[in-house]
Amino acid sequence: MIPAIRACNVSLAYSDGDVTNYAVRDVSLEIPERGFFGIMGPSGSGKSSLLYLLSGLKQATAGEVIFRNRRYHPMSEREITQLRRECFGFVFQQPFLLNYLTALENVLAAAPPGDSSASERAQELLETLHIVHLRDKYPYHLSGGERQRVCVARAMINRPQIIFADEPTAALDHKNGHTVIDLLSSYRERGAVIVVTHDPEMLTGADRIFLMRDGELESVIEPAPQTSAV
Amino acid sequence: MRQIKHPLSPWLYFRRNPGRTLPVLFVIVVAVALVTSIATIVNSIDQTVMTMYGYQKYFMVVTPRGALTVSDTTKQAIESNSLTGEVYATRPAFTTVRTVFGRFPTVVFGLSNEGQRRVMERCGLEMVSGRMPASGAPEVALSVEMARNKKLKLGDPVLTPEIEDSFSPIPARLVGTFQGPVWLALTSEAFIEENFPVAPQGYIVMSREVAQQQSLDSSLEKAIPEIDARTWTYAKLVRDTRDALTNLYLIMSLVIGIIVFAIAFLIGMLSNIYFMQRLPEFATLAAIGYQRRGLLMRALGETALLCAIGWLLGSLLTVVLLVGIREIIMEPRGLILNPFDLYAYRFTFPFPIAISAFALFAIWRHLRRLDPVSIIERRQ
Ligand SMILES: Nc1ncnc2c1ncn2[C@@H]1O[C@H](COP(=O)(O)OP(=O)(O)OP(=O)(O)O)[C@@H](O)[C@H]1O
Ligand SMILES: [Mg+2]
Repeated sequence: MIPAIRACNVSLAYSDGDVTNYAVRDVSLEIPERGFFGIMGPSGSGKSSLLYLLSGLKQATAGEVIFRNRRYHPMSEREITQLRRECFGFVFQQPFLLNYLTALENVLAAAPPGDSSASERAQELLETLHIVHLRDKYPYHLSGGERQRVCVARAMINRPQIIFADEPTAALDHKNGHTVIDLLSSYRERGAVIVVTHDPEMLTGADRIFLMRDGELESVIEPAPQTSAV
Repeated sequence: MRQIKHPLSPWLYFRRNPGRTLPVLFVIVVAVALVTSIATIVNSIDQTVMTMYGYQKYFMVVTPRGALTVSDTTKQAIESNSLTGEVYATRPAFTTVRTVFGRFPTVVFGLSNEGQRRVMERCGLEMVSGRMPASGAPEVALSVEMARNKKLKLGDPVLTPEIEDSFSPIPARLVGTFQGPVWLALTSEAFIEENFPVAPQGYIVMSREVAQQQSLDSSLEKAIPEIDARTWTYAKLVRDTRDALTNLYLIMSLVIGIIVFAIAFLIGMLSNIYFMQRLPEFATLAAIGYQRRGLLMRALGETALLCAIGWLLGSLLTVVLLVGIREIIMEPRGLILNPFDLYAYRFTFPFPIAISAFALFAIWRHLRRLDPVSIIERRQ
């Protein structure tokens, strides 16, 4: 099976004068086409940085990332941006929404203009995520958990091949956190979901977990074989 | 399900963010109204001159220099020109008309009865009230607008011994008013001849066809020796007026330029502040795959829409304002103001351009260096 994303000896270094700090150092990994994957590790271990490298939000300082035979390195910023738009979905720790748009409009904001079936899909997504009754509410009238679910819907609207989620549950209470994780993991049949988290409990159903420490990939855990073949 | 417009459309932003868009809109509306009003009022000088002395489109006036009558050479030049039609002898008295910029002198043409009738016909003037001045009598007929401007009713003195700039040794009263495309003041030549012993006698010279007046004017301007007589033509009027107003227009353009710059700068600063407030919004959109260029275009679209609405409302406000001023202040006093002076609106075109340019610059500075990750990672 061809992996959706491959990282080969990828590093992200920040140089501060003559001191070089590695946020990510020499990491190699593969993410299959479908499944639910976790990145775990202590604070500052490079989890977010790794996620940004895989999603093209940051360019590696060494090594390379390949998405379906396309190397990020020689791609222009424009092409990578387009890739993010067409093939990826994002959920961040803070549920960033446009304040002046309703829940439904926020979801649609990610859809390309002229996508005539987008509003139907958005409606369905809001239903699946149990927030369809909030579709006409503005973000400041929603709870944190509800807002994060709108973000999940926005991440899914373009039917991405990969969803990247950086601590999507960190700002939520336990119950809401589980709801959001369940919703994200339900996408594993349609694509790859990569979730960064501190909380091992959130990754109980994961197909594969990458453990980070000090910027390096310490180990890869594959919990008891699940339904999906790896 | 109903088709929704794309949520990032400028119009939706405009409607949903009145706290941000209305103050900017207000500034643009006020600025456009201010500039258009200034330009309209300044330009009303030009309009006033062209209306007050507009009769020169229909005939030219030749007056002697250093003598009380036109020399034979000049007479010869007039008569021998193939374009020359009717010629009437005339003697002038003077009066003034009030304008926004003070009193402007104007001529009261002394003419024979036949001359009066023909000049009126030529200028398309029709009697409104009263009658024409009788030969030799101390009587004057005016355009209604002039009568209104000078607050005169039939029977009131137009020229009197007391008023220096409307002098006549015996009072000449208003006996009739007429109306048409231009203003005119008429009296009888015999009256002036008897009472103004030093008033020179000149000629009103009409071309055969009205359309030929300009050609006749320029041809006679060349043929008549400068030293002998002075020629008064429409082309000269326009040239002299424009010359006289050059500095005024220059100052006005400068003032308007400063206003445009100040407003554009202000709105550029506001765009900057608004953009900083909306940084998470732009960062999120950039992260999920919006191109920088697209985001810039979106911001520009929002500004452009604001400018367009502001310009429209500003123009509308100006028209309402100026029509009000004209109806309440200007027209009752016989003052000229054209609220639909397209010339004035030209001065507002720099607004949308300057504002968009400033806003674009302000936003592009941030957008160019925008790193979505740094904003998304910033934990509030
Ligand atoms: N822009 C930056 N400049 C310098 N160093 C950075 C920058 N961004 C991250 N780092 C460093 O890289 C390392 C990894 O950061 P990263 O945010 O990936 O960690 P993390 O595992 O996501 O931590 P957390 O769980 O706290 O989110 C940290 O030591 C951090 O200080
Ligand atoms: Mg992190």
